[in-house]
Amino acid sequence: MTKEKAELLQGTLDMLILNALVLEPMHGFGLAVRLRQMSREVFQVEMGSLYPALCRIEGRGWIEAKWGTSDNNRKARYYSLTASGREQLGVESARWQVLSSTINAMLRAT
Amino acid sequence: MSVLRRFAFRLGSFFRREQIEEDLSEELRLHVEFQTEANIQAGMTPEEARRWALIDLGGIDQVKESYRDERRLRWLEDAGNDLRHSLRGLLRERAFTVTVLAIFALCVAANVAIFSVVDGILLKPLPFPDATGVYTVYDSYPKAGFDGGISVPHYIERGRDIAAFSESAAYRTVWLASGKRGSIKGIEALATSAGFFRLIRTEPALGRTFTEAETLLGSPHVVILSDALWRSQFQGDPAALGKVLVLDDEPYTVIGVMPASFHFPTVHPVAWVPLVFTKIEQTDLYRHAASIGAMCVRLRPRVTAQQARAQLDALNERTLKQDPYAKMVVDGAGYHPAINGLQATMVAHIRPTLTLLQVGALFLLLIGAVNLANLLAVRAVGRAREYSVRRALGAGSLRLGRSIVLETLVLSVTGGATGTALGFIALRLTFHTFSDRLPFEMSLDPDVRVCAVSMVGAVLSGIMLSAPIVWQTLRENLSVSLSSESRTGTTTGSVQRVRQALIIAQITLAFILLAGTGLLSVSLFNLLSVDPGFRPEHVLTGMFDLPAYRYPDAKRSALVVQISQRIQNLPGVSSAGISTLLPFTWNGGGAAIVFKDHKTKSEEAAEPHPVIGVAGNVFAALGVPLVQGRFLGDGDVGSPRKPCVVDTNFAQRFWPKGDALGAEITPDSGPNPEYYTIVGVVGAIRQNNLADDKEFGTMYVPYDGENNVMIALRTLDDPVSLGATLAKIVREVDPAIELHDVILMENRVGKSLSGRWVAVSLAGCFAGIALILAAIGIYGVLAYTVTQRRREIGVRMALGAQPGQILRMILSFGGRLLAIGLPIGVLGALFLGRAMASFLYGVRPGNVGVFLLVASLLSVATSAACVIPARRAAKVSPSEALRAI
Repeated sequence: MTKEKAELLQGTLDMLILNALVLEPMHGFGLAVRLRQMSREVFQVEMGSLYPALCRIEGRGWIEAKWGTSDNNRKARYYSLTASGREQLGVESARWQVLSSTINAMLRAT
Repeated sequence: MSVLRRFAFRLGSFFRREQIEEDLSEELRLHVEFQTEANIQAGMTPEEARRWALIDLGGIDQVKESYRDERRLRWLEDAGNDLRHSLRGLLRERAFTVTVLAIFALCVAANVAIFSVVDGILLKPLPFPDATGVYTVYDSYPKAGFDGGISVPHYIERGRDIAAFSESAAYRTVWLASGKRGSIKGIEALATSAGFFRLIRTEPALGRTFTEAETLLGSPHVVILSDALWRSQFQGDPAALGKVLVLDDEPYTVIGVMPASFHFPTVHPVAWVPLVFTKIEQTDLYRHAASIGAMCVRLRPRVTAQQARAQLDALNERTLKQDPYAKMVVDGAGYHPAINGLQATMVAHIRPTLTLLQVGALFLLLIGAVNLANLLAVRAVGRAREYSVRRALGAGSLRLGRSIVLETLVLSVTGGATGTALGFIALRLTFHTFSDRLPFEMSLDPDVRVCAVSMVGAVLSGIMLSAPIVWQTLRENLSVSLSSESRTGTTTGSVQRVRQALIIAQITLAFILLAGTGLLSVSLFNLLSVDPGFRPEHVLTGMFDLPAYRYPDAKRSALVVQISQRIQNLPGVSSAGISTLLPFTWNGGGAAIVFKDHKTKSEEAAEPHPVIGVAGNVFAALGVPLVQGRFLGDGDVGSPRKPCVVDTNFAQRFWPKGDALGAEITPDSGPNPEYYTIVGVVGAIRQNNLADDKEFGTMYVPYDGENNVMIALRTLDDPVSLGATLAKIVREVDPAIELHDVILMENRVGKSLSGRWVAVSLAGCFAGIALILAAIGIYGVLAYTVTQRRREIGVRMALGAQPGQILRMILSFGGRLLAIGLPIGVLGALFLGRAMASFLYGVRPGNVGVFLLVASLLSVATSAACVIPARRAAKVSPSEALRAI
């Protein structure tokens, strides 16, 4: 369990969560696994950040939470993307594109 | 938007806290289970799998806590906790809470009650739409001291010729006999011009209003009913329209019914009839007969009152040329047309009183606030240790400050709400004592604006009152106040000084309020002892109207003499008589007097002199003394010699040498007057107002057929028992005549002072409360000081100070505060006295006696408040004091 971990950039977690939920609703644990996989095991999402982040995003109306049953027929709380969440994801990823390409360009410039 | 949304989300969470907690625990539990399973699949043993799952999560409670931070409205929860904490504290300190609430409620109640009246009368527009644009036009005679009303020619010309007016209307009160012969009742009606209802933008509930044609002389009579009259006469039947109502023995066709809520200008009129002018009223001779109560106008858009005034003056220049009395009224009485806001004019007489009372109430509020600031500050010092402990345990300044503000707000809002409710109740209970002095109707229902003002005031004062405590608490040095040296925390010099300044402010304010009340009371006392010029004791008075249609002039005099003689012969009556205007009935205005011999005096005589018709022995009945010549009597009624009597004011003014008898005068300013010969001079009396010592002089003439007749009889014993007999006699002479307003003369005189009684009693209440509050404030602070200085006092006594010295030390503290507060109070009271000079009678604004009395009253109250804590200080036992602390 010793892996090189990278700190998530402040504010990107929300965007990554939204992104992970684009395809299908997921429960918290699944989301943690998915995020780790998507980052090719680079990012270790702290549960102490994930659940509060889910709560925060829910408060903004970007995702909805519902109790449901998992594939292996177990109870779980599922999070799904709302229409405004989808919109927000577009806005944030576009902003991220601009930001990251700018920062890359600046780094190359030196 | 998103901020609002997040707030709604958190607010929702706040109310579903338990559900959310449950969900969270469940979610985290499942998370651990999922992770454990994943770990087992990765090859760990179950125990290891679970342990790593928990480690991975990073501590369930930490996750929960940071989750809660996202979810919660922390400040709302904290505020809820603080609120519960404050409520518990306040309920525990019941004496403190009740005192504070009582002070708050009293001060707010006084202000709410008075502000309701101020708002209803002075601030709110008149009770009809677009009222602010309505002005009134009237004839003003400043040198004669006569204002208001307008003559028919002036009304017609100004309404027609002044370009600035877009609409004009007029009204006057009339009394009509309602009903058929045998059961006739007088009703009050308002005669209005056709444009009146349009001008005040009010529609009848049923039917229509008057047309121009209906206001012409000789057109068929029509009437608009009030809701009340409609219900009583026609049982609220809409078919009443077109039916006939008999008024003054003539048929009036009902054309409309006004809504029940319509009460302008007063609640009294029960019917409206067209205002019809007679031919003679429209002639130049009637230019200064102010026979119309009020002319109302609306100005054209963008026209100012100033422009309208200029147009009025220009028109007046032209009409004065055809005015037979131009010289007399302009030179003698300073006549000029005037225009003024309708509401401003209607409230002019009551504005000073209301302003005075409102100022008094605000003073009370100020004293109350100062007192509360003091009480709260003293309490805060008592709790300094509690606050220090809370801070030492980690309560932030913000949180602590907020809890103090919240606690004060609980007090101020509760007190404010209670006070507002009390104020409305008090207004309702006392309204009847002064309602007849108000110029128009006001609603007694709790007003949203007043409530809003008082609640906003309560919140603001709560915040302001808590500010010094927050400041004082937060700058407190933790280590000092927590140290064992002091039990209740210490007070810095600056805090002590602020508290002393508050007491001084209270003494000052209380002095001003007490002095103002003192001046008002002395004025009332002076007025009560004014000699009205007649003896109102044992005099019964009553009124009746002679219906115009039943009695031609010749019959009237005979009838009145008949009644006069019958009442004079009643057993138990020492003297009785008839008058067209008894003193203290209503303001009858007056007429200019013309002199046959010295026409040069016409200027002075342009003042309004009451001209009163008399029969019987009314002078003796009233107790008016004869100075010269003889009284008038029944024999003079209808006498061709036309004798008259004047009072001493009149006689001394125009015949200072005492040779008034035999002179010929007349109240008729027309071209061919009939002169009356003066046969007697009687004592001058106060006609309407005990404070008015500048009456112009009265002329008494033999009764000559006037409609309104008043009876006065002086009895040997209790006059009240004769009321029924009196009514019976009048009814025997003619059953259609109804005697009304049977009141003792004393009560009429007393009623003229009722406004002053209201003012003095209210001011007295305020001043009393202020005195008590000042005493409470001083007591509270001294008591606290003594507790604080116990140790110091103990040391002093241990070193040999006598109890007497300690007593003097504490008393001198109160004395010092008094010595600073009183002189400032004197200055303030002088200022206030100057401002209320118009309310004073026979007392100067700087009356030394009043000031001395008030000063000694305050000194006694202050000393009394000092004595208890001072005695407690003197009883301090040195050993105990030193050991205890």
